[in-house]
Amino acid sequence: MSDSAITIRGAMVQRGNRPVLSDINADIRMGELVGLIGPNGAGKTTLLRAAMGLQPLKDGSVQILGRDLATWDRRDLGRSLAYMPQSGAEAWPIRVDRFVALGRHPHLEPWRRSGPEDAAALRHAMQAADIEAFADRPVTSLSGGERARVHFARALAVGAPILFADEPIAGLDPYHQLHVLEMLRDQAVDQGRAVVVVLHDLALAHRFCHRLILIQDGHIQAEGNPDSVLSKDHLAETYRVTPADPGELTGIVLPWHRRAGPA
Amino acid sequence: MIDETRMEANRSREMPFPLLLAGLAMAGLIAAGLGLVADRISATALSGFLTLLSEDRETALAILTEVRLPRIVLGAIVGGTLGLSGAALQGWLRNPLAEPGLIGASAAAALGAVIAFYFGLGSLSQFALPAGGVIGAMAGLGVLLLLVGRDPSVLTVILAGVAVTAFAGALTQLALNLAPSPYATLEVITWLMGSLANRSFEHVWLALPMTVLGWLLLAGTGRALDALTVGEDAARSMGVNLIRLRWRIVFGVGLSVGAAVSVSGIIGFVGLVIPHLLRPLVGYMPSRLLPASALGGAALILYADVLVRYLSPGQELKLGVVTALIGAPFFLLLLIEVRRRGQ
Repeated sequence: MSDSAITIRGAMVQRGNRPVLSDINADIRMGELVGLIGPNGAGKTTLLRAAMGLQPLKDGSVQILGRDLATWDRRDLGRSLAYMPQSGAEAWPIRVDRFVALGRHPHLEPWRRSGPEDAAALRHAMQAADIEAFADRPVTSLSGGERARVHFARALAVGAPILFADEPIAGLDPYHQLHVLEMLRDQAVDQGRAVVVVLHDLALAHRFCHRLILIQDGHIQAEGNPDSVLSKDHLAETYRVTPADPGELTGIVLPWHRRAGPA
Repeated sequence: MIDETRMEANRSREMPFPLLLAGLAMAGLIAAGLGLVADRISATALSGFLTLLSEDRETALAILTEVRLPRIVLGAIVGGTLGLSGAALQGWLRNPLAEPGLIGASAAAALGAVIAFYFGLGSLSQFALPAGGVIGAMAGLGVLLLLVGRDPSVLTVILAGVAVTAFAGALTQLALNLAPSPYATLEVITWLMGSLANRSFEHVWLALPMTVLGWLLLAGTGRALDALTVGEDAARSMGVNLIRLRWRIVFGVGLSVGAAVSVSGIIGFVGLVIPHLLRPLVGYMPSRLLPASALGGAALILYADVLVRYLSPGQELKLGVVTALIGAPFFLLLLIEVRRRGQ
């Protein structure tokens, strides 16, 4: 079996007459954590949505697990990829365990109850996201970090080989940023899934991702290992920033680690 | 801390689901029994009816089966439709303020029935009025879909619904304005108020097929509505087809509400109040809210109808007027609560 998870060839997305993405080529393999980075409005989320088949392509193609997106049955596709959105948009204050169980949706037969497989997937997802302690609380009563982990568990419950996450650490404190990224990386390294994550924090992107794809104005500006992508030139060109000299830094605590044990 | 206590309250309010459904069904059956036994609930009315039953059995049974029974059956159909439609719309739009009237179905159905009445089609066939209501609702939904186009977003649907409601309302006013006789105007206005009085099984048979079809369409949306709790993109990523869901909801609501409005007039706010009250009891799950709201809506309408007859022995209060009197302040409270939570 090939270990290719996502193959994008010449993808182009238009909104009205304006090209939002043009000539996107990318290959993402199983077992790697790939970061999508770029300035605001560069097209990161659009690319993520296009890769999931949520955004129609004007031109080009996307292959998921070696099969063209257009030939996938929507339900089968739903079992093959999972999407972790930003937390905060939960519609109703439903219980955490029920929220996570919604991830089993693509596996459920109409009018049929969920089975032991679903229960096992639910248990496993809640364990991996470390949210068992508040399984019976309403999801809207949780803190941002807890909610992000609940969304992560919901996506994991799908049991898909490919995982997408759109800015999963936006608005989280450092502890939870590290926690969520560690969990995503574990999914790639230990579970062999392909994980694609949109990130704004370049330091964390550099630290956690195997590869980075830098997007600017709808096209790929640079791609490869984090060191080469986050070069001085790329940062100056794309982000219009220059990295600080270590000598300039005063009183900044970098890098950090999560402390083990209860908060 | 406030969150903590509210959370505890939420948790303790959830009921075992089968028990809740059984309780709501029981409440509805009791209301139906009350409505069947006596027109006005009093010892004299009851004993009067029992006397009639022993003296003129045939008339007594005719009153039961041809006057009171259709009223109850119709009440259950209308109430169930409004509750189920409200729950489905709220789950779909992820908005606790949604209501069947919101997407223009009620107003367009009323317009259709008024047009049928205005052109004197009622004299051709007594079914003209209800048929006009169904056609009106479907036409209103057609306009809605045209306005919405390919954009299934919540805001577009709500705005299109407001436009359809306003336009249908204006046309209804126009018909009343130009009505040839004041009696016709009066009759239409009376019907628009919403009531279950003086309905027969013919009304039931006319409304039932359409409403049942609508119920079936709505009943199959539960899992998709649950998945929407996570968000639109996440739901789509799990294989939920939002376009198909939209058609199901719009046609389910259109068919059932269109048929219901055409036989009962506009009975507002049931579809708003019932899902809101029952939501904590089903643990906020949209799929569970569907059957619960259908049963709850039926029970509420049956009790309200009993109450209307009990409260006003002389000039009977219209059911739609009573639900609006209770429902509108409820809507305001809900609005304030939603806004406060949003801040």
